[in-house]
Amino acid sequence: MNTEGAMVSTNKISPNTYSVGMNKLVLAVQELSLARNLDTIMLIVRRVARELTGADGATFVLRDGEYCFYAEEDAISPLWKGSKFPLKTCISGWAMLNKQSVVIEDIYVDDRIPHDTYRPTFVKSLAMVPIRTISPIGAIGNYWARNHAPSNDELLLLQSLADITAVSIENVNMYNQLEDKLAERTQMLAQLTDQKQQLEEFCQIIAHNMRAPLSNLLLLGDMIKETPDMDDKLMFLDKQKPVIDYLNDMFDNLVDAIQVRMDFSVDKEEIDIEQNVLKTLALLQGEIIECGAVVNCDFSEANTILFSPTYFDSVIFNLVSNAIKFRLPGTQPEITIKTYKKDGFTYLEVEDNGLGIDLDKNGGNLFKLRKTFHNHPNSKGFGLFITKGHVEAMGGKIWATSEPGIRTVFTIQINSNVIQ
Amino acid sequence: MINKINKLCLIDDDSLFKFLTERVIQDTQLVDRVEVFSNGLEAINFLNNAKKTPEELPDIILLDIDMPVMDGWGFLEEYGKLFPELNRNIITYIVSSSNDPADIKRSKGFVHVKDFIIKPITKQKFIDMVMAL
Repeated sequence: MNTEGAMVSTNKISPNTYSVGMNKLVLAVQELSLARNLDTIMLIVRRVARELTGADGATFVLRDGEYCFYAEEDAISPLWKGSKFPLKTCISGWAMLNKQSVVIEDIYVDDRIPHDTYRPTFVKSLAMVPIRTISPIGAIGNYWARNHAPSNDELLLLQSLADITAVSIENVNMYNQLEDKLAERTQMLAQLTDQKQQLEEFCQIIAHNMRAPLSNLLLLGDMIKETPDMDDKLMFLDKQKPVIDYLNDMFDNLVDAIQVRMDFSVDKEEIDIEQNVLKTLALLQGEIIECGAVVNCDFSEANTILFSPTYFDSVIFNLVSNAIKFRLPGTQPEITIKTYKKDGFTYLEVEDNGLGIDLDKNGGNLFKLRKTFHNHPNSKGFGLFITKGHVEAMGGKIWATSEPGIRTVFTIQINSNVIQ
Repeated sequence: MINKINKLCLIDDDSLFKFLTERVIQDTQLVDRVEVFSNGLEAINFLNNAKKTPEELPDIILLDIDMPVMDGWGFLEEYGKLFPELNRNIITYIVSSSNDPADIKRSKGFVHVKDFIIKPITKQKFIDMVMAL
């Protein structure tokens, strides 16, 4: 009886111990089903692996090409966490290469074991099961500080854990892939929404801005034909000219703007802000001197920005020439261009002390094309419309704040970190 | 057709449109007087003053939508408030260069708007409009 009892305790797990192990396995399955990354899986598995068999240590080994990587462990004293060994010199590698579990009751009489690696550890015996038997992706190791041969049931529990682990890892991979796909789709959707909005904007421009002058031209054409009076004919002809010029400018600007918005491949570079601003200010030198404007620059907080050089120059040109154009009569124009960084964004501000804008009334239309054509196209409307297009093509935002008669600030916000 | 149109108001910020349309309307000889305004507010101020002088009130209003200061919608709202004091049913048309369905739909929400006309107003179109009254 005693002998038999001893046999049971060394080679076979009692039915009670087995059912406790099964319960632990079931709990582990539930825990693993909630895991969303490999780290969580490994933390669960290394603990459960040890609990299942009452081993003194457990390791979680990942296959990394021709190496075994000891990614996680839970043991009475340190094993090899963080180390890498060639598949061929390591027992976890053996289990992976041979696609089967292995039990070694006395590691020092087995030449598959690199004895030098084991000597500093407590390990006397071990069991190793591959994770996923068809083309293993890793292994789970159990270690004992005494000579111990795990029973078939223990091994079965351990192998079940390894199988569940394989499924969990695949689930996590799938889940991550789905998340990536979802993120990709969400981004695509946002881009499509942007494009739809831009399309609507262009539709709006064509419907409102181009139809009005066109309908005037149509009517003028009819009237020229119908009127018998030569003076009238000439007068009508005269009236056609500015409308045609306006339509021509509108058309050119619209084509430019559409090209800006369609050109997703436009090159961004890291721009030296000071250098480019000074270059652009030189182009406006005449206007600046003529109105006696003072231009202050401060790029000490941020002197680089990720932007297309051509677009950048155009943006600066438009904002500065706007500030000059809408100066307050009788006041010396003062324009301040400065940059700063905040919360991962680079900001560029152009501030003036000019007429200002009543944003409550005109805020919604500030960056839109103007409808009517009595004003010369170059004097109003187009500049900010184009500027907004340039900034948005760079993935940035532009807005204005203003206190009429005191100051107006145009702010450009560009993500500092993302390099696309 | 109504007998005689004494007065028509043209509310539009496009000076060329106003010039041409006034001319077209005069050529039809269907209207005695045409008065032009550059935005909704000018026209509302005029109507407000004309309450006491009904002979100054127009029979027809041609109203643009997109105007500075007060646009066509703003005018229609103010006109709605003023209407009970005017004692006259002024026939109001929206005249727009766009055939934006959203604008057309919105115009139907105003009881005083008779129709939505797309620019330009040619001689024939204006005659048809008046004949239909």
